[in-house]
Amino acid sequence: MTASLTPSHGQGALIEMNQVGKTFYSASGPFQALKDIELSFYRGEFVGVIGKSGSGKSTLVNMITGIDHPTRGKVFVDGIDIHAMPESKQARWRGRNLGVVFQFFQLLPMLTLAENVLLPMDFCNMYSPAERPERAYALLKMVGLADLAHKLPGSVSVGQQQSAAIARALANNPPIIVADEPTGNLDLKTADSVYNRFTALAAEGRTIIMITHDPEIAGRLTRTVTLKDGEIINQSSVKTLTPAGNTTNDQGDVNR
Amino acid sequence: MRPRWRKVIADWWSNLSRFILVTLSLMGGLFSIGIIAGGYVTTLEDMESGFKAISPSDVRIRTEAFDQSLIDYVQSLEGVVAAEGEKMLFAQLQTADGEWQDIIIRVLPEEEQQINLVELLEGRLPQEQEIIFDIHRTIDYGIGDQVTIQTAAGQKRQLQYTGTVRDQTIGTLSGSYFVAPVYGYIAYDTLPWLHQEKHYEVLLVTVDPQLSAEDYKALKDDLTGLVEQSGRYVFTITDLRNNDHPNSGYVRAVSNLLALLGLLSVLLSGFLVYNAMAALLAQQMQHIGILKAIGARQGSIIKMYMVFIFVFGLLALIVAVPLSAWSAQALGQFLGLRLNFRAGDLRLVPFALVIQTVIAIILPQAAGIIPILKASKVSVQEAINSTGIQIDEFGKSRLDRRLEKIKNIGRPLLISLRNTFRRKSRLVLTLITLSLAGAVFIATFNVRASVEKYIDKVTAYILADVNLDFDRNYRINEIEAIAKTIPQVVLVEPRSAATAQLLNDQGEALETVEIWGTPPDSSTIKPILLDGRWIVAGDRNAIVLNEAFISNYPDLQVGDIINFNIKHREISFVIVGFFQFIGNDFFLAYAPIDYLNEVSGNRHKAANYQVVADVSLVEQDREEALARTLDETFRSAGFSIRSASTSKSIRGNATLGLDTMTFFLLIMSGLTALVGSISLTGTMGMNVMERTREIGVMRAIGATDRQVMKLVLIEGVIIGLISWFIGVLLAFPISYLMSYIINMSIFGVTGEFSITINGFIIWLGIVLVLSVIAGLIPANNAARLTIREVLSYE
Repeated sequence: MTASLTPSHGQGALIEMNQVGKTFYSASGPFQALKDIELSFYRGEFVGVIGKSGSGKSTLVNMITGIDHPTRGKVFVDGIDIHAMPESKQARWRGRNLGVVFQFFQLLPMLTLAENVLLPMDFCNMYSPAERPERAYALLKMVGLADLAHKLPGSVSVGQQQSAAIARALANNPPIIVADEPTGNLDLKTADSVYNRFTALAAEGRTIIMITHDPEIAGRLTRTVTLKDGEIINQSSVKTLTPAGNTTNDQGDVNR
Repeated sequence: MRPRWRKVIADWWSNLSRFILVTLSLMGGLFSIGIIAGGYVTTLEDMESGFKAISPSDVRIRTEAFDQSLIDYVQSLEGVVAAEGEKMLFAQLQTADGEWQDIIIRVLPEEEQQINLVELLEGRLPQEQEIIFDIHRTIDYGIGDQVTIQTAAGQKRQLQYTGTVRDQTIGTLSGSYFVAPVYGYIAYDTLPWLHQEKHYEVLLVTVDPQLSAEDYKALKDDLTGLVEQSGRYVFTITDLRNNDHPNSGYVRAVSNLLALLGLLSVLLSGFLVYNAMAALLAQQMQHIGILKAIGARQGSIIKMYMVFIFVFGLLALIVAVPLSAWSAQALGQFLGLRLNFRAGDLRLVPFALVIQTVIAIILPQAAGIIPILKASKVSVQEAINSTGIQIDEFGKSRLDRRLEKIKNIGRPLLISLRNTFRRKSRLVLTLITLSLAGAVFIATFNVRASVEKYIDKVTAYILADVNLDFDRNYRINEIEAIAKTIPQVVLVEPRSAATAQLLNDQGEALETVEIWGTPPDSSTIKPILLDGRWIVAGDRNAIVLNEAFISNYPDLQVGDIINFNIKHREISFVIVGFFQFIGNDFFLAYAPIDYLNEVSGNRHKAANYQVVADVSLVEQDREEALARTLDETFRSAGFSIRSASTSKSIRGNATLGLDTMTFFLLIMSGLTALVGSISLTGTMGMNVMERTREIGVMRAIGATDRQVMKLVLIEGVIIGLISWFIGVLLAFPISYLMSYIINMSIFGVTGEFSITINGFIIWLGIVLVLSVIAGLIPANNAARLTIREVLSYE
């Protein structure tokens, strides 16, 4: 069984954000977190969303994952208006098409690493029940955790926890991975291995969208989108990803 | 207002749903304590004061016909407060569909009633050719209707129904209030209309309450002497001084259980509050760190949170007090109606109020002090870095490791199962609450079964299939011959009765004893023998005594000679055995019928007959038809018959009292269950709140609303099932204890212990429903959480 969107290096935009705006209302008045964002993501891209705290990075990513709803505009993923879906259908869709990696890993503490990886398959009814454990072990093996498959998250290191979280994000073989500062809590060496993993996944044709603060990472990305006060202030050039994780410049920077 | 108190208010406001939950938990506890303590006091008070208010008779002398002159004479005796005449008629009332039902008609005195007052509830007291009814049995007629009465001799008369009353003396003499037939009341002047002589047969006397026991006994002897001197024979003298309301046994039984349940409620409330406080304080850890960082001392923090907790107690108290007072009164009204006493008006019971206040103020503080102290001692660094949830490290205990080994179930179910055991101390407290509630609920059914079994055993002494009661003694062979003309009648066994005075060695009267005469080796009596044997063929002056003799005269042994005064003759019996009946208050004995009849001057006669019907008839439940045939046969043959009733209907009536008690106990265990389910809702709510982040993660990786809800609901059901299992185990000792209390209170004996499957099954159904309901709100909240909220929760 494969995911409903097939990862490939196709040319059409996989994700399109059309005039997306988000306003939060609080006691101090309305706050525009996103201002008419017009943005596309393509297959095989490893995009970094960069900006200061409060710039709107997380809100932007939340629009793509369906975690939050736009006040204005539409978000299309592979031609589907994801915010037009009812909540429950959206959850299933998200589970099948998006792998989410959190800053604090967010593994369920009462489940073993293997069980954590199995969970998205259970929820979304992906793969046959007999195939699932096999796939979970394969993914854990891929991230170097085969020996720790039966450990609870609390008994492994934070780096291993994040690796398991990446394995979980890949459980349903999604074409898109969304990561919210996935290395924010990791040491440099572990962070590096996480970036390598993402680069390899992008090379396979998956679209990786990552929120990051780390300026060092820019060189590894195919594109950066910089936000300030809810607006895109800079989009770096689109680069072609090489398997080693290095990029080459194809187009000039696009500035607004 | 100082900022710190603003913070307390803001904390309240910003965590409103959690605070409401905690306040509700506490309120549930206070409410049940209030209703239990309030109900306990008001029921006992109302029954006692209500019964005193009707001036119950202290002495009751059944004698031959007398009129007002004897009453006037008795009234003049020193120490007598009031004297009055009474007469009871055993008759039948025609129902709307033409059938006849038994009725006892009490003749109200010619002068104004002073003793055993009936309380007029509706309409007016009867005048000539009029009748009023007691409310304890519903009849087919309304005030203003004409009713038809058939006397024991068979004459039919119409009377006008003019009012309803409450007569609290029903059940005072024999049998129980619950087996009593319809009671009607007529004026003295109506007697001739019913072909009855205008006279009294029972002398009721109330005495000065200040009289000492000796003076009272002397007065009683004087009264007896006076009646005898007037040329009348005294059949019985019944001492009713210090007697309570006839149904006080039930109330005592219920009250004892109430005390037990009250204690349980206090315990449960304590658990609830502790549970809530611990979770709440953990959530406040960061704030505590901030407060300390900006200079708050440990003392000020403790004070702030103590005040914070005080507000819970106060709010819960303000709601629970009036609510429980109102409910206690409603409960009193219900019991009053079922147990024949006048329930008082709505009132605050100081005892209940004090208990509620003390618990509302002290319990939350006591439950909160440990977590508050702990929290206030935490360093600023620790407090600020706290996640706002209690430490939850799954995987450390042996139980966790066992749970880890369970793999062959779906992941979502696995999550529910492991989640259940993550907060172990909270789980334990919830389980205690819910299991105890379940055990009490289950026990209620077992208690009922136990008491029913005992009633069955006891009624087996008295009753065969049909019980024939004549207005006077008839020749045994005559009755037998007529009864046996009915083909379904297999056996007719006479029972004669004699009232006797137990005598001491000096020949002084000690107790009034009811002696029943029965044929030896009776096939219709299945005695519970405590010692010795039953009456067998060849016995002459043998006697078997009930447990009242053992308790009151422990020196009595099988083989001893015992003396009675029967009809002014001193008669000796040989004790051959002791049997168990219904307690220590009532002296009962069985003797061979021929000998008893010989000494009481009723040779070959009896007024009561036990009829054994053909087995096929009993199997088809058609004893009722046989009873009617017997009634008609004897009545048409000119016999004065009081009633022909099936033992099933008599037993059925006896269990009516049990129904009241069962219902009452169910209300009580329902309350406990309510506290239990509030506790479960609280636990589930706190669990969900603590796992907000995890729920968000699950939704992020594809869990739908339904899947998230299912996880929470299954967790609730698992807790419910575990509590059911523990409840089942606890139900055995609790059932035993409750059966013991009830049997001791009603019958004065340990009685029987019986287990019925009903309670176990019904509670399983209820606990499952409760678990689902308790999980619904938290599950719904969990499903509504957006991932954005979850991430911001971090």
